[in-house]
Amino acid sequence: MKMNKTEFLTSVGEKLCGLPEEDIQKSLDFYSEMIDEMIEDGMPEEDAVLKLGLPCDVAEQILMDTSLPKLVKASRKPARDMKSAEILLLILGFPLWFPLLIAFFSVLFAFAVTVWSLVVSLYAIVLSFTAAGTAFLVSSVFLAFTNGFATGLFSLGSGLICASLAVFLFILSAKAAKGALRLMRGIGRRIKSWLIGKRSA
Amino acid sequence: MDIQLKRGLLDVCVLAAIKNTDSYGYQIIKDIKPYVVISESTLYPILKRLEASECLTVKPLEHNGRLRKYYHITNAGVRRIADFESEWQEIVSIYNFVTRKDSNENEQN
Repeated sequence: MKMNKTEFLTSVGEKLCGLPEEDIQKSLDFYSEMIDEMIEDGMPEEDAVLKLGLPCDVAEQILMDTSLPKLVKASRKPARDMKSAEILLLILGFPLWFPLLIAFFSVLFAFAVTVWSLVVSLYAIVLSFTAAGTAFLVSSVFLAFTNGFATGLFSLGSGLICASLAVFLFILSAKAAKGALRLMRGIGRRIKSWLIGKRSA
Repeated sequence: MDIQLKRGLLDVCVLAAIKNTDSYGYQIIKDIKPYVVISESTLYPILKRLEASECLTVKPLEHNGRLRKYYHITNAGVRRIADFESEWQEIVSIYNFVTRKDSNENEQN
């Protein structure tokens, strides 16, 4: 389908509705400038529009790059005026959907907290092993003199075990932290595309 | 290419395109295109991101009866390119190590 510049920009603008007016204008200005540049370069207007891609794809890319809070806010605003029956239903259903909504976000929040606590606890274990290892190593010298060579050797061995465990767990913790970060980003992206999908539906 | 890596590379490419002289969107794409695949809809989020992180500033100037946005690199942007250069040194040395290992194997064969 061939479109001219105005049709293209209107179409993209409609799909962005709900975002702050300033953001929409900025996006449209950019694409408008791009089309103007291509026309100035000798390209026919419709070809220039075609080169930018479909309005829905352009809009989706802009939305994917919008921060999650802004996107949630934009999705909350209905694109059209609600009918009174819908408003009534929303009010009557409040005792049902409101707790559900809170529950949903609480679960998400709890999940995030759990993942990060696991990472923090791993680092805590590393710290405790480091402390124990150091204590064992230092005390092994004194124990060797006060309680005999065998006790000192035992303490030295324990210290080395603790130290090696600390090193091993530190590597594991770093990996876990990276994994957790990637998981959170993935979930954020998933929510974004879900919100965007809901908008275009 | 890894998406995260490409994203970072494109950011630096855009900064490099405005490093010596201020430039505008269409020109930036033209300058980068011979080196990396970049489209208008990829450039927009990059410019937005770089502006948000204060790596560049935007100044609209009149051109042929309309506004054309010129992008100007900031100190933070210049630093970003320098960071990239030093990071890249590490990657180059890893690359050299990897390929050197290959050539050793070839010699043995």
